Amino acid sequence: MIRKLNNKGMSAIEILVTFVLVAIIVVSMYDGIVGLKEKETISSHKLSLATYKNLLTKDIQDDLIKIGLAGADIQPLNVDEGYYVTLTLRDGSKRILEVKQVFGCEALDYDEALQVCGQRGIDLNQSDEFSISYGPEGNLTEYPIPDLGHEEIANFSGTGTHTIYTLRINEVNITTSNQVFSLRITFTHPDLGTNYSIDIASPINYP
Amino acid sequence: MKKNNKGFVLVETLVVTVFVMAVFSVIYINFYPLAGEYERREFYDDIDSKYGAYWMKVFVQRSSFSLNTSLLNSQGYVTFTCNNLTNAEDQSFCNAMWDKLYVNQVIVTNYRIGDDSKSTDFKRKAPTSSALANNPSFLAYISYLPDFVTASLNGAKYRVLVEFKRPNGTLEADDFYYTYSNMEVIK
Repeated sequence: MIRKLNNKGMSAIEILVTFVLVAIIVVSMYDGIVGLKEKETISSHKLSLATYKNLLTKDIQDDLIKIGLAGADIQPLNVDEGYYVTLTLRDGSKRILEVKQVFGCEALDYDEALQVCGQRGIDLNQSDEFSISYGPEGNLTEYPIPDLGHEEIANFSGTGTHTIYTLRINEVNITTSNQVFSLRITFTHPDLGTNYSIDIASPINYP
Repeated sequence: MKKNNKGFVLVETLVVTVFVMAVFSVIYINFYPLAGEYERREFYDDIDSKYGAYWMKVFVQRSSFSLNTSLLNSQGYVTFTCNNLTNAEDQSFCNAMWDKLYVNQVIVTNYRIGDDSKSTDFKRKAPTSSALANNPSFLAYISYLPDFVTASLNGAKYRVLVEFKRPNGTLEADDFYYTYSNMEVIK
């Protein structure tokens, strides 16, 4: 038996309707997919920052809870580069907390660099330098700030580049008022804002 | 036998498309609140809040704080403030830590917070209590917590629930967010 094949294909109107339907679906899904992609990126940044914060905070909190704090000496790190804190624990041992906060020059053109960075005393070719180190004297562990994106800006001197990170240490506030040691390090990121911070407080010589 | 090679007509395709889209819509509507719930849990029992709850527990455990167990058993909880500490040194440390840890509210409950067999069940009474009735985010945290049916391995009989009001790092005074944590109390 000879079987007759249907070779008619689709009519122009059917193809047109199909294309229109597909186009409508793609356009309506596009925004949603772009939004989900952004959410995924932000979630991944949050996870990196939370992991970083948990690692660092846990080490400091363990010492403050298990041994206890007997005193804290807060000194500036070099000139305007952050803080060098010596924590004396109740068993007599010492822990060093070093917070380095050096802002680089974000300006993209020379005039802006002179105006913005020059006024704030930032070298025009300065890179961002942010780090936190903690540990016993002479055996500090460095906890590098996670790299959640960075930009290489050409140096105004003509050679090389300097680096500006998207995640930066926004503010460092260390005090010892009312017999309580308090540390607050606030981070800033274009997607995460400023509501990520390291907050530690401990009474000094609390019986 | 002649085979049917006609395929689907446009109307059939449209009906199926509409049906599939309706199914996806129902799934999306049901899934979306779950995503919000997950995001909210980011603010429950994080490392800073757990640390803050630890220090509040330390002050609750001090001998200079006497826990009103009859009030706790009748209303399901008692509110703790540093003024409840009778020792001046404890009170001074507590006040300083309260500020530095951004503590907003501390309540002390029984270790087990959910017990349907008791009229004083904290989870059941919390929505009508004076301290929590107007605090939906704290109530959401309480309902998220397990009942803690199994007794504490450390012999704890009570529990502190702590609400923190943290600044957002901006200059605006009213820009803040809440976090929550709990910890068992041995007293």
